[in-house]
Amino acid sequence: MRHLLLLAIGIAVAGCAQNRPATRADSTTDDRYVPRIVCAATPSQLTPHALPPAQGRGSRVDFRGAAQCVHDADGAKVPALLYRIDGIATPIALRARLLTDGDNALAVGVSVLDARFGEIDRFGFDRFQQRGSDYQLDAFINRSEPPAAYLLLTPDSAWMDRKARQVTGSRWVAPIITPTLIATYADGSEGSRQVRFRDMGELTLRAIPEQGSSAAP
Amino acid sequence: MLPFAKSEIDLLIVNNPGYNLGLIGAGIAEAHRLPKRNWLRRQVASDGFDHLEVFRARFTEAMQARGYRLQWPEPLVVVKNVKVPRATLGLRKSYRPVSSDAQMDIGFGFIGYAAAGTQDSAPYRPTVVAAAKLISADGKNPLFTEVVNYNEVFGFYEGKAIVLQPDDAFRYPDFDDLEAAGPTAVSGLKAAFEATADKLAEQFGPVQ
Repeated sequence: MRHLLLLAIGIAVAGCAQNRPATRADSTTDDRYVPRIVCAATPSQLTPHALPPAQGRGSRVDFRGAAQCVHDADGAKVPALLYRIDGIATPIALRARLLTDGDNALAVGVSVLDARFGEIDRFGFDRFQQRGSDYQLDAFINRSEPPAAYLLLTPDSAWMDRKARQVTGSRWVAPIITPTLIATYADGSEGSRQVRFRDMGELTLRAIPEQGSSAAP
Repeated sequence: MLPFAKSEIDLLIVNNPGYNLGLIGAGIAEAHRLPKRNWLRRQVASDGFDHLEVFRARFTEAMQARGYRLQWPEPLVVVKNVKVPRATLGLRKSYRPVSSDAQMDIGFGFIGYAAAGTQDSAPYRPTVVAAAKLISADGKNPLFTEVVNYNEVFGFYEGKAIVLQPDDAFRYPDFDDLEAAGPTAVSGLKAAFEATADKLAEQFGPVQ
């Protein structure tokens, strides 16, 4: 009886560890994030998140903070976010926005999985478009057999540590205040920065039933 | 494809302080700008550069590679005496039924050379703002809308338009540099229109 109890506790602890959100204590290898938690062998062992509400821009999710760990096709441990979408009627308009933070830009790919975790479709980071300083995917998930049930977000290894330049124009305004005159002086400047694609950063995700028209803006 | 609205190559310092200093300031700023813009238009004309033809050729090719066949109107630009109500970026406000599978409306915002400000650190760069809308054959349902901005210098569409980074080969800190570049400046415009056409076509799927 005592052995059974210990076994049950052991299984429970292992399960909790497997689904524990990653923390800052987890390590990086060559700047790549490798969660030090028990790693799921397949996506089917991950705990799926519910999608944020369809209205508005959706709440931000910190990728490393929310990611669990899964072994990819090559056996490497990678951080992964799993979302359940099987309650949403297809076709689905999917919008994922990866937020650039300083010089770091999150670069993930999105896999569309069926209920048995078989891959139906995959949107690599090359399908994301730069909008402002962020990167956004607008895609459709069509009716399929078997139907789509999950979205799996993992770093796009082809993009890790690659760099891109972002040039933007901006306006600045300075007040001019004298005893006889109050006015403003405005001019513009060009900013240029190099962002590095990484497996860290925040994202927003929306998946809503498609109603006819598409995409931005 | 629906006929384009008339559009002309332009030149602009986007945040020119002169525009902030009343009518006199704006007048001075325009007096400085217009001769430069006219030089650019002369350069474009002398090179035989037609931005709409460049866009048409590249977009047709890029869409063909994705399995789409485009039918272009003749003439390519709306004739002068036909009034077409237009909304943002030259896109039409309403559409009529057509016999093809769908109809596409493409409008241009600013096209030409733009600088973010007056300093040399805000160089003139080729700039294209283009909007595209795909509408059902009956003219009732928008199927796709997109804005592409080559060189994001305005900030109007920040976060909404697809941004294309400008090619540093065509970066001119001052107008004198642009003028000295001569025909190369026109090559910069060609590159910008072709990149914009490619990016728009890319939204219709991968090359087959």
